[in-house]
Amino acid sequence: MKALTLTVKAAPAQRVDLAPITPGNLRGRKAAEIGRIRLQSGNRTVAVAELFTVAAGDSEEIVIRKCTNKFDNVGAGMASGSITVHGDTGHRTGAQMAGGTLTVRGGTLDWAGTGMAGGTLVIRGDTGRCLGAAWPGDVHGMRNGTIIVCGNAGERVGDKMRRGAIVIEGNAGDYCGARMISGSILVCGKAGDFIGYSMKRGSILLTRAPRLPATFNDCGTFEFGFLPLLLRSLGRLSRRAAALSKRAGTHARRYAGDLANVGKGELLVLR
Amino acid sequence: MLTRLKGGTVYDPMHGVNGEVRDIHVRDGRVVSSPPAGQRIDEEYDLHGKVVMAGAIDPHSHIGGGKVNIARTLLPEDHRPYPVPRTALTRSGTGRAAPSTMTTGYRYAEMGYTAVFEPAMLPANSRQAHMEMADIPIIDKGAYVMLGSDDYLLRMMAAGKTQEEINDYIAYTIVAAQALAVKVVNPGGISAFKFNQRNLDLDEKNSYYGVTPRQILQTLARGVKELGIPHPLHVHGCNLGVPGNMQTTLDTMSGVEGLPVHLTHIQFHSYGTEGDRRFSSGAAQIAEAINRHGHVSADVGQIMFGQTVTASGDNMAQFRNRGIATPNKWVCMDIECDAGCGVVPFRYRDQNFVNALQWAIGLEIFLLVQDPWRVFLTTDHPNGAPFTAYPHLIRLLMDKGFRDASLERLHPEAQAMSTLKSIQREYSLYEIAIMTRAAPSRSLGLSDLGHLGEGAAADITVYTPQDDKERMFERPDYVFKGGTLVARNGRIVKVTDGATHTLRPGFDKAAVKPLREYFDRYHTMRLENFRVSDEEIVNEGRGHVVVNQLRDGSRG
Repeated sequence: MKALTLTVKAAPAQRVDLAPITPGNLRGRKAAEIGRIRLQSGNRTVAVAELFTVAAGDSEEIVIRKCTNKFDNVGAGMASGSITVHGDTGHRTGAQMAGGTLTVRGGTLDWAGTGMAGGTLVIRGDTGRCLGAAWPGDVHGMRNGTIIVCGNAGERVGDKMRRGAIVIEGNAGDYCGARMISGSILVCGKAGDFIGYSMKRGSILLTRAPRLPATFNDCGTFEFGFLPLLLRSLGRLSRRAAALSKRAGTHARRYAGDLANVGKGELLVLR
Repeated sequence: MLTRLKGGTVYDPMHGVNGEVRDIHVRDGRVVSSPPAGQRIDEEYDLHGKVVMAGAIDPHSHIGGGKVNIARTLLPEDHRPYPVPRTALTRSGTGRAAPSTMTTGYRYAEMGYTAVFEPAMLPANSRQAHMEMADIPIIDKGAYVMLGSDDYLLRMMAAGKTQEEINDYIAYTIVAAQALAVKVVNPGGISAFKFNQRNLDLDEKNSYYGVTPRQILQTLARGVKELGIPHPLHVHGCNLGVPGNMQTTLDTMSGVEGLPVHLTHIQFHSYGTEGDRRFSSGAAQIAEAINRHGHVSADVGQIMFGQTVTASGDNMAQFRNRGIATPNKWVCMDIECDAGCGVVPFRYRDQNFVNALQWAIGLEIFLLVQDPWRVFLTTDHPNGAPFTAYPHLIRLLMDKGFRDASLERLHPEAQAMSTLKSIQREYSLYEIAIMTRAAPSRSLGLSDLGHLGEGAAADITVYTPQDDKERMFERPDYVFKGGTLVARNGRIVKVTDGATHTLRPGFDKAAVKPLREYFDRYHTMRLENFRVSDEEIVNEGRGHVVVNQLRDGSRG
């Protein structure tokens, strides 16, 4: 069965909350019914049919075409199936998602994958600030799952992240892994300043030495048995990680921190 | 304008009216006597077959003051999933356990409640509490000022000041904080907590001031009586939630030497230590003691299953409970050396032995206390459950079949430990009208609320009688506030502003001087700024202040 396809008729001027469009929520609904779903847009609501042409198909496999960054909450809360977006998305892409696969062919704005609890989020372009971070008031950021960003990421990647993995194939902004509780972040390009700020536990993998914060301690170079396994598993989703897994050995230089907090975290610089 | 509510079945316990069909006339926001024949009626509601009561009064509901805001700040989980969109009439809001101010007002009014009282306003927080309550539309409100763990009172008691001097301080604080009554929370315990005491029994001394909870209770209860404050001292006793605290509660009742007291959320203070799990119901003994002690009244603080947040001044109890916080986060703090505050989110579960038994204990107390004039219907919102659970609670009290069916779904051991099944009593509509209208009104001294006699405020709720009492009380047909129709079929149709109820007990002006010196030396604000003025509450006409009468023969 072919995919359920929503094609944007004309780029909206106001922001639109696309949270109701998830496989779980559309299951068993006919195209006309989907067209009647109301979406919040500013202080009004609009029907899906006003913004999209809906082509019926399997609701477990949703395709959104001609998407723009005015659409927030794309795939937010999805728990199964897949959503593929052609174009960009707005804020909170894949927020709170619990399962399934969300692929954005373009880039996203801020807060992608915030509060994510499972599933896979792939962003082919760049992403904004606070990728996989904790929404204000939340105790945890990303709690599980995998995020792959093929482009660059903004500040505060994985803020208060609890579990799961984030791969940034490009560069990451400042405060990467800030307040991290646990989990893994791989930055293939450059990472900004204040990396691992106040992190408790968790691992941040880097390909080149960062500007080291004063509260991280150089532990020297070690052999880490898990490194090839981790890189190989991430390599299934990320081409750069796959390349790294071939090139990098089992050795990495370890910097422990943040010693201003629990200090069980680590920056691992691959060789 | 003269309005006639025609032919309703009226329940007005203050005047002994038990289900009589009669007309009620309203003019200029007041209930008036029947006009002479031929008088033009401007508006008429035909209420044949409907039940008519005064607007309900909630005498204990945490709707304002510091801790509610802390609960809101702590729990985005309570807001994000529960948005309340604005309508043409009402403003937007959020929340279930700690709803935003306007949502609080709308929901109360939709349920037929027209007056709600915040039971724990710290003197230092009173301005904030009044400003927050000013944002609660439609309903009348008021607050009880919290004393008993404040540094100034404990210093006075430690220094052996006379009852008269302490009465002046109580009276000054009521006037300055614009309060309606006095509450004491874990007498002296909140202060003892700051000196590292983690328990404080009725006769245990505060390690710094050397004052015991019993002395504080007696001093405040006597002060409240001597000042002529209508509502007895509102007591949140020692050892909240501790198995075996029933004995403390019984000692509290007999230990106040016959002075009137109101024991609040008594369900949390009625636990025994029998059984394998060392947790049992003390409801029978507590109810028997309430029946025996004419000077004691109580509200129950019924729990209901589901997510809520417990917000209390009792930081000792809240600190003890921090381990069961769900979700796992909590706050305990000092507030201006006046008292403290603890906020612990919690989910009551029906398959948990302790929670299931707490549910049964609350209902047992409701059903075993014989005099509905001395037991009020509360859930200690939001500590036992959000106030929106009241219709469900009323059904539990009025419908034995439903109550037994609910009991059967609970933790089996808790069922076995409870005597609920053997209790046959079902509340009548008249008794519900007593416990939700007449009794709180009389206890608080609100002369024109809670009844439908001539001169009463025209706060009137009209229900359609139904077998399912939950549905009946959930959605009244009409709710009038001050003669204005504010809700119809459970929907707000007009938004008005309620009054703030206060008292003005007299005090010796000479008592202010040492207080000013104390403020200048220790406090974060000056005494002049501490006092909340009428103008602040009136706020350019949005609110107004009602000064209630002191009991007869008191200095005013």
